[in-house]
Amino acid sequence: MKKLLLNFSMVIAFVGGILFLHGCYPDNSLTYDQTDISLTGYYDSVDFNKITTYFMPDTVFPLRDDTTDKTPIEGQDLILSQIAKNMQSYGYTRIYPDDNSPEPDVMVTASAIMTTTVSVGWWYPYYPGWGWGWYWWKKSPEQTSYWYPYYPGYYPPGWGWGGVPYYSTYTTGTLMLEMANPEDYRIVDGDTVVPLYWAGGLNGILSGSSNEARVKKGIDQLFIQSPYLNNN
Amino acid sequence: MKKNKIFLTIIFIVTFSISSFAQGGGAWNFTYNMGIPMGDTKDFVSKSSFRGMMIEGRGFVTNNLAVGGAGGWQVFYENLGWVTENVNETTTINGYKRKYINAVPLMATAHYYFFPGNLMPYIGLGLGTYYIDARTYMGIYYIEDEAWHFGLAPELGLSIPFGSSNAAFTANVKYNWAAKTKDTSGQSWIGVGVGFSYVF
Repeated sequence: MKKLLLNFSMVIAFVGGILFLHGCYPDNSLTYDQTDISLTGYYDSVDFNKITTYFMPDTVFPLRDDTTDKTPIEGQDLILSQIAKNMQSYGYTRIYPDDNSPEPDVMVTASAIMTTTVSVGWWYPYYPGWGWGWYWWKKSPEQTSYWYPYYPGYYPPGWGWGGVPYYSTYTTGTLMLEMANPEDYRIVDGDTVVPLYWAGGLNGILSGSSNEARVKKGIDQLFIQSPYLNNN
Repeated sequence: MKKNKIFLTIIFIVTFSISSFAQGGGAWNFTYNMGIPMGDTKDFVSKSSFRGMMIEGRGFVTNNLAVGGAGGWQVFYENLGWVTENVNETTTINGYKRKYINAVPLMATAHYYFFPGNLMPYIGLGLGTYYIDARTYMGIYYIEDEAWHFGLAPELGLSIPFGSSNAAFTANVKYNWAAKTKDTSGQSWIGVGVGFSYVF
């Protein structure tokens, strides 16, 4: 009986040991910036050297459950100016609707999900649109006003986006940049859609203080890892 | 069918070994384990593991032969830092990358002790399964390969009793071989264990 008790206590000691080791398990907690991921992809039948001008709306489109909430997202101006800076350094000229410049070759838009559980899957292949479609500006034939077609973007076949399975339960923020030419539209399954020429996604766990520096660094990284965009 | 046979064999050996504890005495071994990755494991995580443990129960069925069971845990880890890599031809990802292997061996064992007595060298073989979870993290995301592998673990070891007490120092070297499965690659590593035994 004594032996049995002793054996039993050994087993308890071992279980205790496991719990102790569990405490020594490699620390999986990261700093906020170490949760940042930059993902980019492009449509391989696009010749980026032929693209010289772009239009970018002055809004980062917020993707919220409450679609009537049009409050600009935090850091909107910083995000847009950082994108513009990178586009400029890669040799693209920004076109504004109110000057007499020619129409832009492509449109670049930014959108953001403020917080979401990752199971939404921004990394999922063919994520069905970001809800707002492609606002486009173009002068009407009479050259008097602007009109705005509204096509959803899509990832054309052969576009390498996604296909990576992931698992996570954190709450994160995502910034998405997309480049497309709404005049280069397709009809797919009865819907008018525009193929995305390039897309870049930033994703990370939002923190209270360091988001600005991370967004700047992240946007830079999206361009750094997309050297094919560089027209210089 | 083959798997069933293996499973039944394991059950038989474990049951047999437990019942044999009552007959000729035995030993409990508790070891801290290090792991040196080999083969596909080394390709995945090149760094040695210093996080592992194992518990074994052995019952003597003859003066030299002991049978029993073993269970443990080994964690391999490597931090690759910030990396940029291609997911496919047109997709690129940048993130903070780490790799983990969590391996849990569960085995039926047989050991042969050459000179039961003061200095007890032995050879042994474990037969059973390895539960292995291999993960590649980018930031908070991970890709996971998880499977139960058929496994073998040949072993060389030594137990040195402390005087006339029930306790003994024990050390062993094991080659851990986990077969590849339909969806996951095989894993292998050399395990070095040091610890103590309680002999009864």
